[in-house]
Amino acid sequence: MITVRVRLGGGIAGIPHVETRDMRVEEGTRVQELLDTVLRDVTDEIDWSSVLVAVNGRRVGDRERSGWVLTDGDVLSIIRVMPGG
Amino acid sequence: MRTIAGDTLYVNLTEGRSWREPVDPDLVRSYLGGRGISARYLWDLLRPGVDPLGPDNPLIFGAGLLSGTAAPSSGRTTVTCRSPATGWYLKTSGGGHFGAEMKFAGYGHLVVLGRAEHPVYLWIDDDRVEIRDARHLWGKDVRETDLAVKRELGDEDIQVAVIGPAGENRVVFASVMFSVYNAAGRGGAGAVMGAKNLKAIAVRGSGVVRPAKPARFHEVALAARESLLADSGAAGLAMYGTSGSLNLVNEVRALASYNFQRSHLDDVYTITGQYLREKGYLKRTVACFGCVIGCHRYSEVQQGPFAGTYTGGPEYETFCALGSGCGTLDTEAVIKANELANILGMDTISAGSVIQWAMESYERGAITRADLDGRELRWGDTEAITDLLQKIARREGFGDVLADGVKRAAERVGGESYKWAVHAKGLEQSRVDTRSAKAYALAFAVNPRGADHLHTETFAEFGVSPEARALIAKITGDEKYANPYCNEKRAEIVRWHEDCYAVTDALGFCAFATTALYGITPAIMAEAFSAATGYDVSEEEIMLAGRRIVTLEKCFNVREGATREDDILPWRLMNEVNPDRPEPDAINSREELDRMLDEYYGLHGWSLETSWPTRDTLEHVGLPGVADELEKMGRIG
Amino acid sequence: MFMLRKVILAEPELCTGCKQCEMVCSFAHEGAYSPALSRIRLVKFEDKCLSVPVTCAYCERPVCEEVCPTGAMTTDPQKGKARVVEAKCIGCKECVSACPIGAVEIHPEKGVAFRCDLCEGDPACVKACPTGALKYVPISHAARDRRRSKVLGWSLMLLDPERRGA
Repeated sequence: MITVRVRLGGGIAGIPHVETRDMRVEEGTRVQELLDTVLRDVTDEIDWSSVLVAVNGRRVGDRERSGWVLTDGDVLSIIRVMPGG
Repeated sequence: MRTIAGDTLYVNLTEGRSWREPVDPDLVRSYLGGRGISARYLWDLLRPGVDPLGPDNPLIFGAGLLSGTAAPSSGRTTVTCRSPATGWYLKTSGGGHFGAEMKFAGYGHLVVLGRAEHPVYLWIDDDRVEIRDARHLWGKDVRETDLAVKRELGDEDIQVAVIGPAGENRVVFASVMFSVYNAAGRGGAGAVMGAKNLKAIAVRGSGVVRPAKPARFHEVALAARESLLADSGAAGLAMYGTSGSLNLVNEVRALASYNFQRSHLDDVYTITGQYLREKGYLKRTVACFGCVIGCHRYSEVQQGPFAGTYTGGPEYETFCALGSGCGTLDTEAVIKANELANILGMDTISAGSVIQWAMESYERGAITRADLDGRELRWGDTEAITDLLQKIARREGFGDVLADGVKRAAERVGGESYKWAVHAKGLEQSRVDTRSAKAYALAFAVNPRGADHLHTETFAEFGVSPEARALIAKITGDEKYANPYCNEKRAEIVRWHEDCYAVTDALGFCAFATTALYGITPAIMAEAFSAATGYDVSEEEIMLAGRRIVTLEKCFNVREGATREDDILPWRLMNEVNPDRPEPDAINSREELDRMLDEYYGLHGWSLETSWPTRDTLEHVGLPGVADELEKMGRIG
Repeated sequence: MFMLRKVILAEPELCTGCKQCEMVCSFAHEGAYSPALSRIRLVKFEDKCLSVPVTCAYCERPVCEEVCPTGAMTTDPQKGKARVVEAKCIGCKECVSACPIGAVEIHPEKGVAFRCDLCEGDPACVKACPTGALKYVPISHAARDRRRSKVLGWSLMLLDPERRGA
């Protein structure tokens, strides 16, 4: 088992701020799998074009998610984002 | 019949006279309008080595070529001069409605020369131009001055550009404020205006702006509007403003906090546009002239210690500079600090930056309570922030040291304090940690006015929207370069953005419509320019004009003595790894910067050794006269 | 039917002050861009970032028409919209003074009165407004929508248990 810190929010899953929690998952868990687990109970429609999925700050594009294997201590961000600057 | 470019109004404050001339059509063909024509004017009018706060530094206001039409988001106005903060080229721009009003009065540019003997303000009422006494206005804040001028002139629907006490006191990051809260903020244009004893410029325009091909222009304008609104980020920007993106920047470990000691905080919700709306601080969304997005905020604090605060903003940079950067996430305190900076007439980025530098200096013992007039200065002390803002504007106590900018403040305090003075070329860095954003890093290093994003706005490198990824793919050939940690292909990305941004500014479009949202493309800008002027210009040709403007601005610095050594990043970012992203590439190392600079200069046709444009390049881009002048000085690449 | 006749309704709370309405209006009527030639004008309080659109209210008993000495100021009975018969207008400006909301002006070049004519039933300003601050609605809807938005505010407050003292 490994520990992955999950950061969720920015307006997604009804969480306006950002919530952080540690999750224990199987070794070899991929980003897409953990994404599915975390968002399993979310009924609202998710506009994926405005969601940032990142591991340790590095964006993981939608085509990379099923191949990207998480390692112990990784931080997975699932945050709704907006343009600006 | 006047063309869309409008006339140029010259005002000589020393001699107390004004005159107007139609814009040379060749200038419109070559430099488009707005910032572009201003750059040419500055090149021609300014001799090298002139004191930025002296009477020989021209202060040039440029309305966008398309300001005052139905073109969406086309109301931006630029102010151009030599910067008192850096000594380098300064183009600063602001929103609001001032430039459009200039166009309705018949002017595309206003060139202010000389210096008045005592405080004055200009009243430009269509054809009539008056230089009026402003001694009774001197000392008033921006909001008071704006209202006083409107009431004095009997019309509250006029437009006024104003400086506050900061500009009067020549704070090197004093701003020029349009429509009360819109800052032409960076680089100290407000100090130049104050040094000229020019308190305000009031404009009223009852005339007409007429494109060369009206029906075609209107058609292009309406299509541009649809294209802009179709961008996937448009609704979000309208809802939450620029500070809606704080979450994104924080998550990728690029959110400047604690004077760039941190780049990632646990939860920044309280300093986001989402929070402003959720908690009801946001009372209205506000648009600049012609803008169909309306990203500006208007906020009020009705309870608590800051009850009674009301101001435009806060925007992204302000939430960082006067919030996370100073170690506070207190929404109300930031709104208050923003109000103060606005009405005192100061750039929030630089003001926040010098305060953070002072906080770190205090933490490290480089300055003590004695230096700070008996006060402590700890991270997150919001009372100290508001107190310092007032002191800076009035150059009181330690405020006088900070009012000269972080570079000079660090020189004065000495020791190692330069290491945490986060600036380049003397301009305090915009609130992006470039150790996590490599296109921004290159862009900040090469920007003629200093370390900031408002010459390029390479937001696309975050790759968060489909449009951003598509743009990066178009520029570099592969979407994979839409990764801010990647340091490859950055020269190509920066170059495209430079050209596009120059065209954007020259036409008066907002950079958020062309380089943060992407609905207004260079192709659309070329069509709009063609219909507005009657000149048939392609996308390639208009981007070449952008290139010409960028090159001329670079040459301005070359003429003033700039070399490759000046294209650099702050010490901290070049020498300390980003603590919130402990990876070997999380630093703007000398090697990496040198490689990116080599690529950038190579791409531009500038000397790798000096950064100076070569004769070939200058002729190719249509600046042979500039090549001659630089060659005579021995400053050609 | 009278109550189905449409008017332009402005909601200042939604107005961002962009002036797209002024631009498209002046363009539609004059072929060029000029707030001074727009039939809809924004009144601004810039220190409060407040912007209020003002245009012809289509009064049921228009004072501008009553005071007009030549009959130039008319309403087209078929279409229910205003029409200034320019050939009859002498530019006396009685209508400008009479209008209680300042929606009538004198054209700087032609010297005749001008006011909103609802653009043949498809107002350009309403289409151009990016926030929906301008709506072209039947009179019967205007009050109804206002009531609902006001009541909604109250009902949310009442529904909040803390507020009710529960």
